Amino acid sequence: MRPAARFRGPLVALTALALFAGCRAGIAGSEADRQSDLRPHRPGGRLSDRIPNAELRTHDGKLVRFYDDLVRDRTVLVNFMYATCTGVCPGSTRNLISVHEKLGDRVGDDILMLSLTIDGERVDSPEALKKYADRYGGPKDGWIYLTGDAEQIDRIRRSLGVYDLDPEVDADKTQHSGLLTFGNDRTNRWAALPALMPSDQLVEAVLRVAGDRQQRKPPDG
Amino acid sequence: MPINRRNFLRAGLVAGAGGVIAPGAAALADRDGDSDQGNTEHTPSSVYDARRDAFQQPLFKPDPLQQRPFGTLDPAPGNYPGDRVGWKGGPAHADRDPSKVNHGIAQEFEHPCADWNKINPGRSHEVEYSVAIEEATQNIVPRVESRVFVYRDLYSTSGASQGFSPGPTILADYRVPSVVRMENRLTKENVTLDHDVETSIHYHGGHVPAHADGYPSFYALAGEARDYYYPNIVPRKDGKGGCGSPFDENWIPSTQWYHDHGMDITGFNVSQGLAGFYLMKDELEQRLIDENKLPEVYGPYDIPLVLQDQKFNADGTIAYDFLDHNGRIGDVFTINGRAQPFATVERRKYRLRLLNGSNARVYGLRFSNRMPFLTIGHDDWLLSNGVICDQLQMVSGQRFDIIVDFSDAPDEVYLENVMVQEDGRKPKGIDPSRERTPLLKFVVQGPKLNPADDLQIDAQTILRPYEPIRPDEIVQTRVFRFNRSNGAWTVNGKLFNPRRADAVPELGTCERWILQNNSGGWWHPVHMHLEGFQLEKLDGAVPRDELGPRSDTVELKDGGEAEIFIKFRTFSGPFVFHCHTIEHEDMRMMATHDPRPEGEPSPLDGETRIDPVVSGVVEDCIELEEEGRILFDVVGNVDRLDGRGVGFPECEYNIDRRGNRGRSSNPDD
Repeated sequence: MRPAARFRGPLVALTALALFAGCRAGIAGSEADRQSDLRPHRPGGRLSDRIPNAELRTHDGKLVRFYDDLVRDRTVLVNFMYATCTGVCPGSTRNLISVHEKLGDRVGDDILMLSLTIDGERVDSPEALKKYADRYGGPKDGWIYLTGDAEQIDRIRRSLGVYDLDPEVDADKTQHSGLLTFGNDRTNRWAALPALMPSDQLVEAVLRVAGDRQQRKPPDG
Repeated sequence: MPINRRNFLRAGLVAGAGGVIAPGAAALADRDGDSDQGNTEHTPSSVYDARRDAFQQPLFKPDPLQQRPFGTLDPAPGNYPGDRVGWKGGPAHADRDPSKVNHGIAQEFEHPCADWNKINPGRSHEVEYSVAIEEATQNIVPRVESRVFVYRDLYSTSGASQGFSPGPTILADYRVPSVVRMENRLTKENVTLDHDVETSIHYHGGHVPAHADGYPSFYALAGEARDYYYPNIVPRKDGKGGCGSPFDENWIPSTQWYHDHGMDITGFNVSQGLAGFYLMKDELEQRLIDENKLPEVYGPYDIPLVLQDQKFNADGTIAYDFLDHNGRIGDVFTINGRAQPFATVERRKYRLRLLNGSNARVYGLRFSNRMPFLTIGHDDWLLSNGVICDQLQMVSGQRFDIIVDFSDAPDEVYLENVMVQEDGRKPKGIDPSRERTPLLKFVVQGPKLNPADDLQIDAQTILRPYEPIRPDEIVQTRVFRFNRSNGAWTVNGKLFNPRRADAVPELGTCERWILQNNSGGWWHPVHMHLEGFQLEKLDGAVPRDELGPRSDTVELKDGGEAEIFIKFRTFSGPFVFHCHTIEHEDMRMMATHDPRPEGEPSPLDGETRIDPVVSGVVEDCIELEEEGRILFDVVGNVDRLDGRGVGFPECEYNIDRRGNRGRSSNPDD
């Protein structure tokens, strides 16, 4: 597993500056170094550029691409769980049911709720996720449980900022079910809040990010 | 052509992209590939090259915010067209016309104490300001135009075509009350973003009505305005909130600031530039100036410096990662909105007002020639007398006023940061061998000023005397533990709820608060709204001298503890207290205190909306009776409620709903 995300940014610049104060020659970080650091950005950089487009399986067994089929052009609410989770998951899931109810018919339209299992498909099959959903009143419109390669799901988790800088804490899967991350791929606005917050306030915050209901293009065919 | 987003978009349109921002092919390849991504690491800011760009731009000193006399604002504060709520100053119909003021004004505006205003006793305010919050471009890095959000002075006479960041400096006089009209023009039509940007303006260090304090959900929404009433007073010694008794002059402030505090979006808004200085002066400070102990406020020898760290995308836009919850650490150091600028100074003493306006960075500051300096103020207040220092540690939100003597300085002196910090968790300590970044270059010129003509100030000079809060004044002790649980921040095990008061001190009393950081390896600078505090103990010891007797923000190191004595006076809440690492604050590492007169319960029972007379946010009632479900019709359409937009408080406060109805809406309780 990758080490917890370290911030590499300032080191190049700081080395250069540190030397600058002492002596003016011999600056670290060549032009070539900097060029190789360039990554393609759309104007302003889009957060969703870094979200892996991993192939995942829904609780119905359908194969989907995480970005292309789920995130693109929508507002998504993402949380991480696992079917055998007994700590924070049951409370989160119940709270999200309340969020789902309050968001009304926008869920399934321009808003999707996505629950990804950290355990991945070797532990949590689509059937296991379906069973988990059944324990909470069955699958709901616009709320998709997802499983797949655990490493891919781990990358998705990190891309959404759901990780702990302390590798020990990060390796503890019980630590990642406390957040609800949500974002609007159209507007590039994202946020995350504790999944156990009062559902009224989660819904308020989600709607601030979701904005007006967006007309989605009719599905092909 | 300058690199900025507009031009990128223009280029895209020319190329036939048709306004739809489609992901670039390279980005898609990246997403599908095995490259090292899928994390929140930031690419180094390639637009900035310190060899080429450092010390090329002069230090920027914002213009003072221009004031106009009483009676200039139109419509007048508190008198709005379309008042249909039935109380004066009530909010008008929301619409997209920023000339309409929709958020009322503090109830105290209608009922000021006669002695708040020393010029015209009884008049609620004396001066008026008018500010537009909007987008502009600015050369933070030379030759690169970056989008910034600015507070633009609508009364400016400078002829500037756009605003700047940091915002105009508010120069306030003690007991000359003011109204600042803030028009939020950051509608998606007016910004190079695809969404509206809501704001709430916090006057950091101010002693102001709750309505004007910048509670996170007391919005100035995009396309709307809000009148902020700043009485520019201090609490009274008896603290009960009545009129006429003596003011507690211990707490007259000096170096303050204003910045965004909008719910969940503060980190973004501040990173984009929404911050400015607010300097207050009273008779005592004027006397120190007249005696040539301090320079003229905001004159050539009084220089405010806001220290920030920035990150840039490759296109020159300011990078902000909404999902970097650890705390934003930048790789380009700016002072007053310019990357590593230079300042030409004379060989004499200067007053430098240092403000850590960074989202998460802790600075260790010193001068490159290691010259000592005199620290004369901490946070809002001048110290009782100065402290000689050669290094300062400064957490987010904190301020230090220093007197620096360039008389015998070399021709070039740098203000340096020597604190190593790699992520938002905490700094790794002062280590000049690993971290020594010059933040500001002083070019020292001219002959040495005759010492007799220079500022007559040293460590013995009495500045602002302080009468300590005595332990026997304390009526209550409370403990607040700042913690982390499953990736979320908690205070005393609870998640933030803007409808719940976590402390209801009795108005006019003094309390001892123990602030503990049990979050495991993180630092949290904790900031109190409404009043400053006496930092009694820091980590069990007497605090460092330069932290002075008065603070409004205190560093809580990992495992750290602060004991503070604090009074709660003049205004009922709600007010927040919170971690000033802004990404932690945006993840709601906050709690609410709501001082109330003896025997009066707080209406913040965990469920009920905040009184609209206080918050001014409410313009209509869409309340569902069933089960207290508020705001949202679950079977209907939740797109737009009464044209106001979605996700914002929109329910009439009902006094009958005070008191707990026996159902907690917070599953964490």
